[in-house]
Amino acid sequence: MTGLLRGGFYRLTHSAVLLIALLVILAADVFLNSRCDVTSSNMRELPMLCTMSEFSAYAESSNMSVTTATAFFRKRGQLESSDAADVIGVFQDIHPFQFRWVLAAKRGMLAIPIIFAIVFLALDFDRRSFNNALYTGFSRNQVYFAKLILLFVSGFLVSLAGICALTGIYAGTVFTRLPGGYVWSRLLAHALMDCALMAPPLLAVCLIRKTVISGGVIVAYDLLLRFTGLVQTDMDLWGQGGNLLPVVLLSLLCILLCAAAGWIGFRKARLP
Amino acid sequence: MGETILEVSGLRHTIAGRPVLDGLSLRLEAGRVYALLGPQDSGKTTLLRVLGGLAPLQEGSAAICGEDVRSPAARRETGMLVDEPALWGELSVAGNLELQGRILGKTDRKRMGRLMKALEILPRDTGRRRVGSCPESIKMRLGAAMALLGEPRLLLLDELYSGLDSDDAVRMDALLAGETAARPMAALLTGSFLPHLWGPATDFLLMKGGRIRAHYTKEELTARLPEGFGGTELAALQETLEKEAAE
Repeated sequence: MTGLLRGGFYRLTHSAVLLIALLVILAADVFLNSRCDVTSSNMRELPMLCTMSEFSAYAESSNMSVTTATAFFRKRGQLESSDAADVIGVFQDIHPFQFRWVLAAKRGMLAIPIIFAIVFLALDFDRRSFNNALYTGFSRNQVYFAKLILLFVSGFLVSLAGICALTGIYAGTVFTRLPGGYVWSRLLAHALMDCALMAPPLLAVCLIRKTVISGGVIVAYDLLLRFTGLVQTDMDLWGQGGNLLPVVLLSLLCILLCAAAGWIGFRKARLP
Repeated sequence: MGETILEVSGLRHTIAGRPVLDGLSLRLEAGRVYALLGPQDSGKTTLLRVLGGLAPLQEGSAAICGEDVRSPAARRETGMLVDEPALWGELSVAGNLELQGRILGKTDRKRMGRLMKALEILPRDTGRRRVGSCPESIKMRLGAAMALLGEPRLLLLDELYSGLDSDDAVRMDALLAGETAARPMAALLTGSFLPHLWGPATDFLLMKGGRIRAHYTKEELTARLPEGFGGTELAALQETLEKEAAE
């Protein structure tokens, strides 16, 4: 199966269309995020607290202790009901929108499943390029699992790179001031969620096996997620003390179920 | 007698209840290029699909270099181009060869270069453009180069010559002659028109109704042709051979 993986990664890195499409998605994300209206009233009332550094600078310039600053900002932020125990907690209550806004919007990121699924699976059905691997002695199972590994590893890496770039651009200051473990665990969880979002398109392509029809189904899926807000659970990822385990388990379950169903569809498919 | 590359015995295959291969037996030797001639629906492509592992072997036996055609070992000894070439349209000509080489685990760039040169599909000619935008003749030549890339012992080419112009056909002839001379390899080319396959073939198999009806060597057929024969004479000979086989 090594040959199939090597071939797949070669295709991924040498496909100009795919690389250009990914760059366009990232550029669109950056552009759209830069024009996004933030609706947080707290943000408008406390414009100086845009970033963590300004937050700290304000506290320091006012010679506030941590406890005083926490209480002060809790009051200023109208967050008396917040159960945050420290400055970061309060900051998270006031400012997690910086992460949420950047990541929960997921404007372009949902296009990744479409591109990956179509380029790597649907087109292979239409062009019969699966046959090139079958001729050379690989079994259908090997072809499918090589595609699967390639799809999810690539999707995970591309998604992680996109998230890092967006948070770096739009929430970089906060990014550097929060504990590394906290930030990275959530970024990785986001990338895993993107992989889970990629799983249904993979399943659709394996079951439909026609580029145009499966492309249409995947676009509909993308629009459904985007406009119905079905995938908003990631908002909670950034809560101080939010539990990542359910999100991780749900994502893995979604990936496994779709991969298994896709496998059955692929095994039954009559390849041309 | 040369080394046996392919041995097929009692091969039967039905599609939707209709027999397509009807107890077909066949033996191919190394160093020979076989032309498998027959009308549409005679079972030529189905035979290649069974030998190439794309269709199941329902009844009978088939072995490539002594290995069952269903085994990975047999698959590794086979190079194949059935119907249209299966290409990755978003990659360049060289990219397609490189990718196929990686799948095969044989990224011999010198061999890729030799194949591209022999079939004149060099990047300078194709302008490094995507294969999807290349003319059909380049796609066919590229498909043939990909089939030959892994240095197969058995080469199966389905209707390749009907998609090549005369210049491409001459290049392909020279390449096949070189490949069969360089190592123990047999090639099986299908077609429905004898003049197309006269150049590369050393042996001619007539197929009809899912069976091989006759086998002629080029020498045997040349003896039946007039001096300075051309396409018209070859077409007439094919008609005669088909009548003989039917009787």
